[in-house]
Amino acid sequence: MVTVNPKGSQEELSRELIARAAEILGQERAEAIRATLSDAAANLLLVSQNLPHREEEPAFFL
Amino acid sequence: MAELFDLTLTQAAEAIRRREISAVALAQSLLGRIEKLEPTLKAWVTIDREDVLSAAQQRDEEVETGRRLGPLHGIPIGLKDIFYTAGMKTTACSKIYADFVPTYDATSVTRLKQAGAIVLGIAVTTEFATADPSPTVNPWNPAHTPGGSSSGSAVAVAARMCHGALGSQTGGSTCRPAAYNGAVGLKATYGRISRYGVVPVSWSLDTVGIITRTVLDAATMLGAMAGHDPNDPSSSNERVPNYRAAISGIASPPKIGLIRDFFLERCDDEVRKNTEDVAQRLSKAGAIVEEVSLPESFATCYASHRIVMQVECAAFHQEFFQERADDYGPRLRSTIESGMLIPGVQYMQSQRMRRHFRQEMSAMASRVDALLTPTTPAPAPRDLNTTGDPVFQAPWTSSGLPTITIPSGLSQSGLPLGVQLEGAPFREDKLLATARWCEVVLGMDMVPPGANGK
Repeated sequence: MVTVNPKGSQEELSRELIARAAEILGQERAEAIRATLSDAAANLLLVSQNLPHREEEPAFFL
Repeated sequence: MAELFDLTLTQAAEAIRRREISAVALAQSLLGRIEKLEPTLKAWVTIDREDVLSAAQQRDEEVETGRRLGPLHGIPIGLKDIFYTAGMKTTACSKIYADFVPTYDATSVTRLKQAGAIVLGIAVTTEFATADPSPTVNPWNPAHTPGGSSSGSAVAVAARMCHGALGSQTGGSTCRPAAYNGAVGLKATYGRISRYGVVPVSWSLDTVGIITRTVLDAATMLGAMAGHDPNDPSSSNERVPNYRAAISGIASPPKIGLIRDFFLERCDDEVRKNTEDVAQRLSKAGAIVEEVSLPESFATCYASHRIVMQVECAAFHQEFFQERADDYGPRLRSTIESGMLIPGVQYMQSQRMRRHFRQEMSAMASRVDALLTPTTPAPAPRDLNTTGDPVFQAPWTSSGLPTITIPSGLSQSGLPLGVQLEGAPFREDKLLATARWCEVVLGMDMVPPGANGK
């Protein structure tokens, strides 16, 4: 499982995502989606660094 | 009288009601238009000419017998190829759904039919309403993208092959193609129009969209479809106002909040100038235009939107994808694969952030009649390998706020520009009234040169 460390870097998280992608999708697909995973890493990091107030609940259906 | 295909939806409905034209003549006019333009524009998946004319004949008979007529009586409407239509293929322009024939209509389709509309045909979408471009081209210049994912719906309306069409928006899939093609695009509040019977991209983001040539036409279609649907768990119980009455009842010029930060920093010079010009023209016409600032939560809205979209898209496609990954287009495939890798905790955090974002955006929108931004950072790109950038539309989808794009001019290269007005949740009445007021001030009636030949 991928772990998001809010103090980590985008590159570290991106590497972790690519490694996990290689495990479940194979090396070829992991390479094919490298750019998308780099974007995903940036998004995941941003979210983990800006968590809402602890009393904020999720909204699935707004 | 103008060619029948040149009439707006409202004009055509009025003409049928007054028996000045027949529904059959209107349908024939549009079918002739499609026959002429479709080989170039590639906006349609399915047109069943006989079914359309038969339905039109039935509508004419209903007029003759004095039956109570709905607001869309005899009006042919296009449906993006993700709306279930009983007995007609709904393929989502994909290999996966290539042979899928629904047994029931989407609620939105049912309600359009109840209002008297005729299904004119099924319009092209990008594959599963995501980012792999469709074959549809922009009628203003075929070398430029028509946008997506509601490419066929936007092009069909802009080129006057139909008076109104349904699209959908998960990022910017209604307002962006509408703006790129010089049409009006309305994304209502999340929960305002039922999603039941619409092939999903992302359940908590997907919103049914409306594409027309005028704000009044969009109001008419919204009025026909809005309202609670027990079959859609996200459907709202909020009261449905009379949108057409709201439009005609605007008493004084509106108060408009111009958002310069981010939007006017991220657009090209031509779009910035156009938006500033629009604000100035509205102000001169009497509107109160004041600058408003984005809330703090805006900074993370794209990240949370993207995470939610990827995870929900991966969840919907999981079963198909296990068996048929090679049948997906490259962009959708990578979206699904990325979504599979995103931790559940981060998905939940993103949904919590969206709720907070919606609260802050709603508060901002509630202080004015409508907010004003450009719809897109630039006109339609000269690149058929993209559907354009959703960056200016996605925040409104993620927050669930209603938004409408109206044409605001032409670029130097002759491509349409649009401005976007955004309102408070479930205040489409106020948003549409403001948009109509702006539409009158701006006075745009866009006909693509490629679709000009009569």
